[in-house]
Amino acid sequence: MTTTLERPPTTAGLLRGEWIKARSLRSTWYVLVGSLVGMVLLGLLFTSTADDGGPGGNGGGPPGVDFAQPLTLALAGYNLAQLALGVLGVLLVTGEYTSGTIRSTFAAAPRRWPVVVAKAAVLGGLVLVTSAVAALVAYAVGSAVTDGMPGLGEDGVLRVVLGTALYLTAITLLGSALGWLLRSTAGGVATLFGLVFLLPILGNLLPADWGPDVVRWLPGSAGGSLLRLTTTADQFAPWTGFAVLVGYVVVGLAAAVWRLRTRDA
Amino acid sequence: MIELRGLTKRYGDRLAVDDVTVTVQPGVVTGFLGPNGAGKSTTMRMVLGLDRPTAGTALVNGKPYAEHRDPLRQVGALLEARALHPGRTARAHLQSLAAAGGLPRERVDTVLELSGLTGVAGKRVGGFSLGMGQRLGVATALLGDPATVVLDEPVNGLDPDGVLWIRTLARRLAAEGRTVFFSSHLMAEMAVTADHLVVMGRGRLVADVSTAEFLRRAGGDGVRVRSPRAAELAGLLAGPDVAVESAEAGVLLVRGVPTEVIGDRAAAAGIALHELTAVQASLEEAFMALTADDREYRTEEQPA
Repeated sequence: MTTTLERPPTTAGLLRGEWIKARSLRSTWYVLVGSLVGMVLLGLLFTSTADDGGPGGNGGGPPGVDFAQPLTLALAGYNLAQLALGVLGVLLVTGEYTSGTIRSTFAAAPRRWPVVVAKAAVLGGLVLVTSAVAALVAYAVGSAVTDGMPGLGEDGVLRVVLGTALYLTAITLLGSALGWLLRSTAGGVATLFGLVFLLPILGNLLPADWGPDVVRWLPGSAGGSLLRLTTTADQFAPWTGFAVLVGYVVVGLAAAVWRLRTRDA
Repeated sequence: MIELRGLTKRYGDRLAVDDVTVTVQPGVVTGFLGPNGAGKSTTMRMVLGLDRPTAGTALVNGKPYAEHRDPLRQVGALLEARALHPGRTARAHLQSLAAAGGLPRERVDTVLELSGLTGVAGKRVGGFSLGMGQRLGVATALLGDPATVVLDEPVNGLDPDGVLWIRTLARRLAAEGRTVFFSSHLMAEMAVTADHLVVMGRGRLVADVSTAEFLRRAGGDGVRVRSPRAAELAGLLAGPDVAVESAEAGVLLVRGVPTEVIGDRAAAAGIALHELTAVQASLEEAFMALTADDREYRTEEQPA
């Protein structure tokens, strides 16, 4: 038995461990690169066709989304990206449960909660950087192909572009929290999609006098306020809405930590 | 050293582990025996702090697992086969744990070498055979150079080469002064590897004895006698502390009388013997006897 005087497990070590885990799976890179490319290409498609009577031509689309605004069109690919990134958030957690590596992970960090935090930090950082690049490139490409694109210095534009990255990061971490809570890929993905995509649609069927008060509290709708140049009375102000979304993420991760304390791994 | 004190785990109505108190000593290989569902894996998971005991405590090297500041150096465990992500390489799997556990990077190469996986370290685990997965599991357990090693069914899926490797490894680790606690349902493997046995049945501790004592206690050695006049001979041998069984016509299994005495008595009575063989109770038999319920266990007391 060698008695080496090594440092005890540290936060840095835990972060490095999670980074090695995330980067050593091909699915991580497929999702990140796919989201980046998808966002840029969809933005290019929407902005380049807007003048030929595309979605912006007839003023269609869901209420509150201004398809006549080139900035919105350039970043519209975020809808697809949030799907893929949300699944990645769920999968990096549930993959540990389905494969059984969660036991080795908790054996190395028996207090467990630092693992939740480290995973969220590594994944959050990866997604934030990737989607910030994706949003900026989509904006640049959109600016090149359409005339009406507002400049980055104009009111709210930089907030919308970088807000897209913040929104996508928050949705990914919501997926991570659901993964910890449900431990099942199918359950986590279904719940995330239900919260982000399905409930807003159902919410639109609610009576007009109180329906919007419910809908704007949903994670996707609340966080989506950050991605609009102008918000209506039915929506939260941009940063208020984003704070609500962050609230969901914090509550979700806190619930995950609390569940892990007592649950058998 | 692993100390279990009144360790209990209840799932709903079912007591998976029922008030188990036992100490697993360093320096020897301790085998952990029991039929499927006896509570072995649950016990091991409680030792690792993965499952929370309903009552009692499990201490490793003097503390509950979760209270160690350097858990991977205290205990290394293989808890189930293939607890590995199929999309990750063997090296990445070990590197991530070494980082999280604050272990030096060189340990990854050391355990890869030790488990014979250096050549496939860069391959994704999904393509590994059961035996290679098991070797990586053992490599994972040894990553922290731990003082206590817990292995759940380590020889499952291993080829004869691998079985021999585990046996040699377990013995070497114990000789180095470590605590080695490993479960198996392969009795023959236990008989040659373990110095000491902890036996569980239906959640309860059935035995905590040396392997030799376990074999002796479960009926000990007997003598197989084949004779055309077996029934007559059985009458001659009967006495206190003597058990004579007859599983087939003309064959006796005699316990409590040495071969010499049986031969002499047969000769004195003019009974021809076609076979007179000393047989050693197998670990299987010993195990069956100990884990069977009380009524079945009493067969020994009924002379044939």
